[in-house]
Amino acid sequence: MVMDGNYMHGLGLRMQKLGHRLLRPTATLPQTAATAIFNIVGGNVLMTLIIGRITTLLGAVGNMSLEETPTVGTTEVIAAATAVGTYAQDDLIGITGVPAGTMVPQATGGMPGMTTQGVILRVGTLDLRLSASSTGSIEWTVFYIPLEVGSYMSVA
Amino acid sequence: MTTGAGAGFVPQRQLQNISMGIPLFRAATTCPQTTAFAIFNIVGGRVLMTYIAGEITVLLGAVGNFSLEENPTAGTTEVIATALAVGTYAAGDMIGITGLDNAAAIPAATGGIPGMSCQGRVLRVGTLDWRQSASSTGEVQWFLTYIPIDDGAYMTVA
Repeated sequence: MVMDGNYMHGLGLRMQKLGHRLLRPTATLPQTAATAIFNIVGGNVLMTLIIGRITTLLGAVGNMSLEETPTVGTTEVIAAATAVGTYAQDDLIGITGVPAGTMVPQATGGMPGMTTQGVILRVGTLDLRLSASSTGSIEWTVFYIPLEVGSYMSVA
Repeated sequence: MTTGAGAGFVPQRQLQNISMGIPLFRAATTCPQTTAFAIFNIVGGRVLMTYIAGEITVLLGAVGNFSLEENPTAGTTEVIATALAVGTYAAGDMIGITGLDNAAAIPAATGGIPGMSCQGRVLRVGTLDWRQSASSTGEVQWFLTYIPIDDGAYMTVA
C-alpha cells in the first residue's frame, strides 16, 4: 500500500470519488416479483455505483433486473434482465448505467463500474425484480451523491 | 502552464489522488512463462481499480497472448482483459484495458493507451493476475490507481 505523500486516504477518497455508501445486509430474494431494496428520500440522488454480492447460490432464479420506481413519474428499468442463476457464491452483479443495458457481468465473475457518471434516481424506491422464485440471497452495496438539499438514500 | 512545487492550486500528487485514487507501482519483472502469476494483491475488502497500465521495458518477443485476470479467494475468476498478442510491441509501448466485460486488452496494435471506458473494475479480495500463453524473456512494469470500496480495503504489489 502506498501511503507516503498521499493527499487523501481510504474513506475520504472513497467519499470524494463515489459519495455516500449504503450497505444492505444479505437477504432472500423477491419471489417472482419486485421488492424495494433502497429508498430515495427528499430529492434526487446520483447513484454512482451498485454492487450485488451473491451470498447464497441463486439457482432457478430466472431473470434479474433493477428498476427505479419513483413516487411520481414513470418506472425506469435501469438494468435489463440477466440470467444469474448459475453465478457462484461471492460473484458480483452490477450495472452499466446505460438505459436498457443489461446487468453485468453477462457470465459469472466480477464486474466493472458504470460506463456513465451514474444513474439519477428520483424520490421513491430502487427495486429488485426476479422472474422466478429462489432460495438464494444477495447483499447490496450502493454509493450515491445527493443532487438536492436534504436528499438521501436508505435501506428498504 | 504552471508546474513545480507550489505553483498550482492543487499539487500534482494531490491531483492524482483526487482524480484517480491511490497509486501503486510494480517494478519491471520478467513475464509469467506460459502461465499466470499475481502482480497485485487485494486485501481486506473490495477496491475499485480506476486505471492500470503496463509499460514494456524489454521487448516481449514470442510471448503469445496476454491477458489480465481477477482471481478472488472466494468466487469465480474473472478475465478482465481478454487475450491480446503483444509480442511485437516495442520497449516503451503501453498495455491497458477498457474495463468492459469480454473486451480485449488495448491497444490492438503497438503504441499508447486510453483510460478505461468505465469508472473502473471492482476487484474482490485475492489477486490481480497476469497471464501469458507462451514464454518470453521480455519485461513489463505496472502502474495502477484504486479507490477502496470496503472499509480497510487496500492493494499491495505481489
